[in-house]
Amino acid sequence: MTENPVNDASVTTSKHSEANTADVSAIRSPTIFYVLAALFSLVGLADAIYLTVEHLTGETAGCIVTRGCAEVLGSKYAVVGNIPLAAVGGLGYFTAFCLATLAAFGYRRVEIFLMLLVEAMFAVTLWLLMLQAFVLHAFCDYCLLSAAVTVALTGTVFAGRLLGS
Amino acid sequence: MRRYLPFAIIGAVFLIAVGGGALLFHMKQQRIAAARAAAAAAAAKASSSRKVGADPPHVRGSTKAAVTLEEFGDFECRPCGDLSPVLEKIEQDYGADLRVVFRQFPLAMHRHALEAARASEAAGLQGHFWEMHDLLYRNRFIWPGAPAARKAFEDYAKSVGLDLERFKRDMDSEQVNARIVADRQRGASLGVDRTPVLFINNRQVPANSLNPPGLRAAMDAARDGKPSE
Repeated sequence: MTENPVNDASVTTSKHSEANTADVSAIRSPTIFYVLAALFSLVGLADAIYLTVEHLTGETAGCIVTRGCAEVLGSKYAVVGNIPLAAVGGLGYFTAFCLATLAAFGYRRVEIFLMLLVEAMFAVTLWLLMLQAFVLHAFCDYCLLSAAVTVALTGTVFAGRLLGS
Repeated sequence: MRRYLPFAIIGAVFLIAVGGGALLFHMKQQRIAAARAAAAAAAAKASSSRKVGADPPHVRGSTKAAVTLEEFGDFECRPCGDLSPVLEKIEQDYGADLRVVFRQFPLAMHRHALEAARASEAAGLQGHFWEMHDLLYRNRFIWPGAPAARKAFEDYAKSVGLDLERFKRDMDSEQVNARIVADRQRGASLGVDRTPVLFINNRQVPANSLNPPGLRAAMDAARDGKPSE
């Protein structure tokens, strides 16, 4: 990465220096959204790591709120080839974390990749929710947590992008 | 310095994620190995012949069924509860080919598991074991958190139509206690060390097959007389 980071806060502040205070600039800065996106990615990453370890040790995580962990995590949709879907998700969350962190530090060129990634993750999440609702007729806590994280991630990245443009 | 900070953060998160995942995996492997060793020791300690368990056992399904599925369960164990609807579906799908046997294996780590096992056995003495079994699993998110789980069991007994006074007496009876002890001894003699553990035609189903496709594969293999993996 040879791109020089841009200090978004200072740029925003200078653009609106006549009209806005520093506090207002900070709220409007996309940086806070990218920081939030990075934090959401970490939650998703932790969830995915836990599920991957459970899968690799041959155990099935027990549900706390819902009742379908055995059905969902043991279904054929929980693996892609021989790779646990949770591991693929973990890779996605880690990549999202990297891109969100770089975006938060002013590397503006990565924003488009972050947008594309979260859009893809959002689409996969919708598909997985549809599978749980209409094919498996069962939901699992960890999958719903992951879905919530992806929705939050998508929202924050879009908000950051809108403010950044 | 600021230019390198994001890369340092990313590197640190990568190391924590990989290290944390590896540590969690290692800890789980150790726990599984310790459980297996304990199960092997328990099996060795138990008599060389398998214990028969409570007699007669709780059986649902045809006596002529080609496949017998024996479950060692704990009503307060969440994976057991998650497995319950899966087994119900399999019972429906395999119909007369399947006979299900339930064995009590209440774990000491669960506060109300033993009392729940007693409640189901007391219901069994009035011929309503399976109704209580289904109610306990269906309401497993309610009674474990209730201040007085026994009151909930008595409510379930009433809803099933049991003689409540007899139910209360039976819950504390030696007969009920002996059945639970017998099932636990059978479990120990088979190497059961956790719940749920299933045996299909006396072959233990691996923990990673306790899901619809894994159970169906084991069921089909047992029904067709093939050795399951």
